[in-house]
Amino acid sequence: MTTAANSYILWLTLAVLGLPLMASLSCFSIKQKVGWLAPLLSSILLLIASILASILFFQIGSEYEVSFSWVWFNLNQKEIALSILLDSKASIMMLIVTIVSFLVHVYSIGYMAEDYHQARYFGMLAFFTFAMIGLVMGSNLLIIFIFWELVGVSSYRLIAHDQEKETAIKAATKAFLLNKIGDIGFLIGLIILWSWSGTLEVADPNLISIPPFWLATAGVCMFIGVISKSAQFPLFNWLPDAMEGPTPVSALIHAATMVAAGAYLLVRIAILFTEDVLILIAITGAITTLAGAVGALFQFDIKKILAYSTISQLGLIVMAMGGGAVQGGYFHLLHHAFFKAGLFLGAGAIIHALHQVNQQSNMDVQDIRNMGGLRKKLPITFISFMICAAALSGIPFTSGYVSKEFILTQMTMWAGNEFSWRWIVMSCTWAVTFLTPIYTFRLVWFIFYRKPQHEHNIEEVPIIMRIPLIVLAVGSLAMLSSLSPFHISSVINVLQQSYPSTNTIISFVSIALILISSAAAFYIYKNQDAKNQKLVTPQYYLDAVSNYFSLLTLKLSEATRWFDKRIDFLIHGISYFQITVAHITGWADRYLVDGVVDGIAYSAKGVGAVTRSLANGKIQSYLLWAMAGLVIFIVWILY
Amino acid sequence: MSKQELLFFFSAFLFCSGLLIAVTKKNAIVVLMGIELMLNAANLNLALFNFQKRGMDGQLLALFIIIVAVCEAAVGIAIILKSYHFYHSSVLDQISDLKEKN
Repeated sequence: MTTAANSYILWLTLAVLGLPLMASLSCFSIKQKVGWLAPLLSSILLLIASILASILFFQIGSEYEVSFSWVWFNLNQKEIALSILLDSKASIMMLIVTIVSFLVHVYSIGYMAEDYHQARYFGMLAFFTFAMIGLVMGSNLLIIFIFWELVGVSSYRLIAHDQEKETAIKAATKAFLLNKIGDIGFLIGLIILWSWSGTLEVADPNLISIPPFWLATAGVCMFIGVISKSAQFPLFNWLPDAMEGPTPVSALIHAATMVAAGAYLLVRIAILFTEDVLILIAITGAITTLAGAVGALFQFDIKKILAYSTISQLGLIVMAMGGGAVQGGYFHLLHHAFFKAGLFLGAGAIIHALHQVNQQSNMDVQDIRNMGGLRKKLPITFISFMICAAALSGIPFTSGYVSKEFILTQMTMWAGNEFSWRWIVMSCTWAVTFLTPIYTFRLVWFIFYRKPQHEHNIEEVPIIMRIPLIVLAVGSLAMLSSLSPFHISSVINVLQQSYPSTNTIISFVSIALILISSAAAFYIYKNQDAKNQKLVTPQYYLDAVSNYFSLLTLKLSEATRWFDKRIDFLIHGISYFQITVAHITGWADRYLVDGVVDGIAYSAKGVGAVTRSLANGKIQSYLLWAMAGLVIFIVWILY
Repeated sequence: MSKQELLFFFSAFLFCSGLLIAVTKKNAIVVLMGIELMLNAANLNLALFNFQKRGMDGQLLALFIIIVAVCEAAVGIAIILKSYHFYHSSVLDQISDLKEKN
């Protein structure tokens, strides 16, 4: 590429990074009096950013790889660079992040219209986007780590947006603390890599030319970071709790920013992972995907169902990346961003619509047992929700089908013909493909088709909330990213560089599986009376384990406090002793040392006074003393 | 006791009384007289020692001292006169400018 084109791309990149930051800063500095400006301003800036990101994406295309780097500081003759690496994967991720973030911004204008702290909300939203874009484009692991932390902080702030709600604050703290575990892993990984290779550039081949044991350790440490950020087993419990935040925030967390960061990091540092680490990744993903899918089956909170489905889908993605399906997993991550954002925004629309009607009654508007028959009342929401749900369950002609089939094919090929542990992982893929339509169907049935449980005069949500829903639903259709009259060729080029030779049997089997499970779900849930069902919250005893850990930590802190007290006692003793000694030395100083000095001065003064008294100006006494001196002299001479 | 010894004692007596006068008397002129007495005691001593030793050294020295004493007395009286003009007193206790000012 020429230099001119390079600098053009550089400016585009920096603009995409800088615009959300600008939006965030201007939202924070805006006065409460003109708070209504904040949503507009940040939405417009995000729109510009997403347009620029799409230009950037088409510039980068599928072939180019552009990197920029400035020396940040030198450490022991090794330099840390502020470096950007733009390949096709980074640029498409930036595009998705900016588009989804823009849509969430637009949606939030309607959803958060009655919120007093709008400026803070939109500022954090834009900052979240900024952090994620920085993470995506960064090429130095230290830079990635910094943005990784910023993503964590902004998600914390956003989950705890309703500061009056104690549960929200608790959920935010939980998310933050569980993420800290992963951050420690990430940091240890960084330390190992830096101390062995002396570089943190992901594109530097020196990075992996270190002893295999340490490479594997670093890989595992980095993967712990991914586990917490992408809500994998055993650190996924923060994600359902994070539903306490506003629904658009959940959409952003689940689709484009927070949880996608971990999966994206897996792609970014794929060279780090050795065979053994990949096994760990695949198995972790398999456990997570099953746990998430089963969890989603037993929830009644609309947002928690979606949260568990996110866990399940991310488990699928991580499993695919640990197995042989990196492209498939990445592909699914991008599709997931769209349809999951669509689902969350749809859920938000339903909650919003119900909330408008039921402000007085204390009905739980998030409980799907209280919904039903919303099909006719919220037609636009219904259609977009249905399309996104179809994409989630992988029904043909949606984006979810394309990528899920991609994963299935690659995983089946990866598992091979001989039976091995890989078969277990692969069967998890199939099991999730079977389970996903069931809980999705259950969700849709309860919300839209069932007999209405309450009579409301529900109105469709405002137009500003409908537009993002429609856009995301269209984006969830398969026509953009698979061969169709409307496809975007560069997307296909990027994603399907290694599209596996389509195995017709797999396609048929997966379609059949999806249809069977949908039918099964229909028969299960058709006549079910939801009112008698007990609410089950599958935490898989992970909360118990973490409670145990926190209890342990408490005990430990008590023990250390006891120990501390003993130490304090010792320190007090020492200090008392020191004070006593100080008093003694002070006394000695005052009376002995100073006394000697004073005594000398005093005696000198006395002598002076005596001798001075001789010179009293009386001539006769001078004479007398002269005579006395003479007498002494004579006596001294004679004897 | 020989005659010479007696004279030595007389000389000592003269010196002591001169010293006593010079130290105790108030008036500067009397102090000057005391000093003359002490000088005369010294002269007497010189003359007496000249007896024990052949020659005229002691007596000549005594003559010199008499001359010096005359000069000293003249100068002393002139100073006293001058200071009397200055201080309007010849009492030594009132003239104590040699002392440091405090």
